[in-house]
Amino acid sequence: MLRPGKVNFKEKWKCLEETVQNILKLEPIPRDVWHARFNDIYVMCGAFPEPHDDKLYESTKLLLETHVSQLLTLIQTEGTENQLQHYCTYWQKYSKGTKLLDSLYQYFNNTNRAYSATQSLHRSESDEPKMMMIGELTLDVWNRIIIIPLKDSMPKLLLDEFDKSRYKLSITTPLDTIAVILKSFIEVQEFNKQCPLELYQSYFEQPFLKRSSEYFKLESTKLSEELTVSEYMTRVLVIMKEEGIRANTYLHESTYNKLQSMFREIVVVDHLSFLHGESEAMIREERLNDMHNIYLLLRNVKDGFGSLGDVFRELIKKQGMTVLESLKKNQIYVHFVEDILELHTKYKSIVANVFNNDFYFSEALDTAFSIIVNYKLEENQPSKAPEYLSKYCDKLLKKSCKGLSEAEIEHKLLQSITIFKYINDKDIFQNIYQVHLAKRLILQQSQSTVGEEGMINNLKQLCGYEFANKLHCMFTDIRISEGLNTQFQKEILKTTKDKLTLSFSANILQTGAWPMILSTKSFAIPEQLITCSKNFEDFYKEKFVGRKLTWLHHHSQGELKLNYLPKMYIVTLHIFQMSILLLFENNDTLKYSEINEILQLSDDHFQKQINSLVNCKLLSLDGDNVKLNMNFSNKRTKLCITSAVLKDTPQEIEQSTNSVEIDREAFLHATIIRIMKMRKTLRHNKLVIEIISQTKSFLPSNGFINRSIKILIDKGYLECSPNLPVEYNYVA
Amino acid sequence: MIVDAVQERENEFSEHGNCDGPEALYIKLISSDGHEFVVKRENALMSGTIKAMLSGPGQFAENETNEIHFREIPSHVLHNVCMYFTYKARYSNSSSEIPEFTIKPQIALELLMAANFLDC
Repeated sequence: MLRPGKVNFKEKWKCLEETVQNILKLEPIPRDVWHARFNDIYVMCGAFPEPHDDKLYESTKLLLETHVSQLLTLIQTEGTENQLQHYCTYWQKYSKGTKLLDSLYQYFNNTNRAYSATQSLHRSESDEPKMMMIGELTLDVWNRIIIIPLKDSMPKLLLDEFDKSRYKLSITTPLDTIAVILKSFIEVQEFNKQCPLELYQSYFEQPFLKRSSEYFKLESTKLSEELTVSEYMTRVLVIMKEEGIRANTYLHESTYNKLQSMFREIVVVDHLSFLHGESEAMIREERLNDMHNIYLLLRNVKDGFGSLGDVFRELIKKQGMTVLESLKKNQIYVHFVEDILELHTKYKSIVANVFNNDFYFSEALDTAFSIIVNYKLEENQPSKAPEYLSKYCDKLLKKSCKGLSEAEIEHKLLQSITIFKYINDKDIFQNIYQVHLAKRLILQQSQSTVGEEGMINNLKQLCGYEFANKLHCMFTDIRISEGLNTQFQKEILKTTKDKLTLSFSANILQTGAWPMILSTKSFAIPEQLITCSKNFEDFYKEKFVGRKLTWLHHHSQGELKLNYLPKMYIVTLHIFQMSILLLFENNDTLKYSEINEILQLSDDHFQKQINSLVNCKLLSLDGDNVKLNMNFSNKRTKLCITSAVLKDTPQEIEQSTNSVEIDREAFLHATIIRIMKMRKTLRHNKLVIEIISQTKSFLPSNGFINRSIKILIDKGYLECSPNLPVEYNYVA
Repeated sequence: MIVDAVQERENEFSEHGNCDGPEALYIKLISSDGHEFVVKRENALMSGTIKAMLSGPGQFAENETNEIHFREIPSHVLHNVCMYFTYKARYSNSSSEIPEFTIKPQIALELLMAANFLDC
């Protein structure tokens, strides 16, 4: 039954034709008729002696063409007002029907495909066109017979509808219908693999873009003459949004981008000078809405921003300078950090909200702030930023910081990192911070170890592993010392029969990890302390054979109980102050010069100590005589008078600042040699770029780099090649 | 044996699903000599022609949709076709060893033509 046999084409075709007509009209077809047609097609294609597929193809083609021509006539006679609507309805019906047709003719399609594949090997292009698959045929017929003939009327009608939508007039045909029509232009070319949008673009898109550009030109000229820049921008953005929505909803997706860029060209670029006339004023006056609008308009235009970034940067810089100049002198470091942070938050939010965190503007912000933070408040002095920031953190981390909750302190410390990022001389900050930390640890002024550790973690990422390590070392030392002290106390109680009349504890500090300046000052320990310090030394030497201990007296402090007054007082004081007072155990009055001789301190140091004691009225100075003040009284019982002598001396800060110079030079030399060893040969410019990228903790000036290179050449590590431009070679 | 198997399947389908309605699990393929084969719908859809036949126009009446009458295919051929559907469904994307699908040489030519028509 499935064998090829004689087939009467005309008969079979008559039945098939009727079914096809019904399909095109979307009329229901009984099941078995549907199934029977499959067999008919199979039989026609496999007919013997000759297959009928050519005849089948031609007949089907003719049928389709007739049907579609009828539709065309209908459309043309029914008048232009409803043309689009009719086209849409007929198209929807047709495309449904032809899909069914395609699946009915499936056998035909499959054999046809195989056939044309083999034939194309033998035939050349100029021969009669090969048969298409039915699906493709139906679309081709529609294209040729309806779409092309309507090309004079339909595109225009479509464009008119869009114009009506633009001018807010009532539309004859709903835009959804138009969307379907436009899709038909694309679906009709479904089988054109190379450029399926060809019809759509030539038939509709190009005229549409042309009409749109005319509209935009007209509108933008009219608006720019009537409105101010702000109003123009607002209105134009509204139009842009509307056009975008319309394009996305009704047109093919490829048109959206073309439309937007054309819009920008006409409305923004052609009026660029108009917009820029006001743009600088907008920034200077901080008109945020306008700034946002102009950002939205210019962001996709090449070089659209012009010099706006510079204007923005200058604005921030000016504000920053005003802040710097009006800093309150009292606790200037607090105001420095907090005022700058306030400014930074303000402008950062502007960059985020108004400029959508655009890189161009956030870069301008960073440049401005790095100028502000590193600004030299006094001529010929390095920037005070590292010192101020360190003092600020110091204040927050000390016990004496009251009035702030733990969360607030943590928050403020985290914020200070923002300032830290902008500081150029990061290594100076590291040194000063370390000095402050040492003080806090020795004098047990830290609020909490958690807070300290948190701050170190914050800095670790920016300062590197080495620095954090040094700080951790300091913590470890303190911890170990506590353990040692308890051991010492136990040992002493065991060995000496008589208890020590005073309690004693020592902190052992590793030389490399602590920024202690070894004291070159001489000092004679008071008698009372000699025994226990010696005992401790012996104890330690026994425990750790081979280590050397050096006493740092000027960092020690002690507590004295004053029993010679009606009320008992406990005074915490620096060891130098204490030794002065201890001399008064046996005498009430002593000569100034005597005291000085016994103590063996340097003169100005001695002066400071005596003055501090006089100022708090424990002693009174009478010419050359120093007398114990028997009328001393104070509201509190526990006193601390170390603050006068322990304040940061400017020498300490200076020392930290200057010591970095040597470190920097060494670092730079090491970096250069390391780079050159890797690269062997490098041009001067490239070398400078490499150096700057590898130096994170400070910003080397060009002169500094050049000097270092010269030194290394002199030492024989590098040599300068004779070619121009300047090149260096590594000398092994 | 084959008839028994088919009868069994027909009894079963009241529990596992039937041929009614457009979402039915099973469909009926009827050969030229009236033999009805009930097969799983998704297996039969491997044939392009059967797929096209089932998704044509027409009302979705209760009984109409899920039967196809093949007036040109005899039962001894259609039987093999249904077996092939099962075989393909079982061993497609399977990592186990795939046994040979045996075809008796007497029916080979007719089976070939049926396969050509059914596109499977």
